[in-house]
Amino acid sequence: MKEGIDHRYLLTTIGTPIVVLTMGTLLIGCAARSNPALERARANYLQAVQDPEIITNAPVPLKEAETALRKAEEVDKEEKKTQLAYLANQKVETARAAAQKKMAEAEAQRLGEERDRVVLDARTRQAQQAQEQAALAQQQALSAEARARQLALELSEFKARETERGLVLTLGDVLFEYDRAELKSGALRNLYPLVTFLRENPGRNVLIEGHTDSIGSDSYNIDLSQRRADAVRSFLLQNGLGPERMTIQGYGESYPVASNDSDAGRQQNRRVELVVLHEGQVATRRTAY
Amino acid sequence: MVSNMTLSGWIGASIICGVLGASACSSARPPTETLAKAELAVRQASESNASQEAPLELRLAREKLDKAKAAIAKEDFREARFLAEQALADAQLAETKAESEHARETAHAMRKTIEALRTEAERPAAAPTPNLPMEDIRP
Repeated sequence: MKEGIDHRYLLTTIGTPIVVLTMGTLLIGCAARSNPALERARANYLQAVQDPEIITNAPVPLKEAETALRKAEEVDKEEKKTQLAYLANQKVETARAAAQKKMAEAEAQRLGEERDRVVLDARTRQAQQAQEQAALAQQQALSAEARARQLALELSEFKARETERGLVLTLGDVLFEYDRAELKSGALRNLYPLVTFLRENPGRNVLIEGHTDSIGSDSYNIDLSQRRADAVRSFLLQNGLGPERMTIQGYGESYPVASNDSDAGRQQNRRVELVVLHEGQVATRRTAY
Repeated sequence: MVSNMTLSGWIGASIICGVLGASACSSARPPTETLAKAELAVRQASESNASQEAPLELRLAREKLDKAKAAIAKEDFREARFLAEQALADAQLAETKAESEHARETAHAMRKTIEALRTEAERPAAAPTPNLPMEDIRP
């Protein structure tokens, strides 16, 4: 790592004052005291060579500083010594700046790679998110479909049938006690799939129609059929469906679905029909059956 | 300069050189080459934004360059050489400092970019960020 640095020079540098003191005084009789500029330059140089970053990153100016220092020690003239010391000092400073430059460049290089990585990560994450969202949407679509199938299955318990008016559910007489208009508590559970269906299809309004058999007076039967339809309406209201979505109508015995001559036929005629209208359609009174 | 000398002058100079030694010899000639180098270094330093990053060194280099030229005009070649050498060293230091500062600024800007990108990337997906400034940061 310490390429370009002459290690022998470090020794001679340290040894120089002794050499100067012993040899100098004996032979030449001058330079017993070193040049202060040279002293400072040498100290600066010695400090710089302690720094591995400078040795690694700025060997050239450091070498130049070393050469100048060595020359400075060789020349006799104080003026020349000072000049070389100045040059050596500037070279040491240049080495410092060059080392900082190299380090900053290496840092910028590393940061550039990091930035590319961050950009790549962001792109990958975006792609992943898009993928996850697509997968989620697909899953939701699937589960919505499955749910619709399940609901259709549950609604089929009400003998739901598609007609041109919409999906017609027949809530049989079993929901009500004889001659009563309150929903049987056990019957409520059966209506929950309907509630769910209507909640999930807010655009579909409901027409609730009450029907009776032919026993009893017309006016009584119309009233009973209306109260029964109303019971279903109340239940749906309690379960959070808006009143504007529901229209009720009691038809009494006017629209039988079977003969009123038999018990079985009459039971079929005692019913509430729930018409889930087509999307966006508003309930209208039926004019014909 | 040497080529302009007469033969006798050349011989005379050689003798003086022999007598006074190498250092005296170099003082007898103008430091043309060193001065050219110093001039080039000062120009490069000026172009590398050293006036902002190392104004002191650059100013010293310019002043010494001017003084060196003045010294040559007065035929004080020894002084001119010293000044030109110093101007060269000062200018080289100024340029290196400017380059160093430039590299540091580049690294700093890069760090800021990364921070901004990270902040952007960490935003929740609910606030969609489909337009990362890809064009700006493309290497």
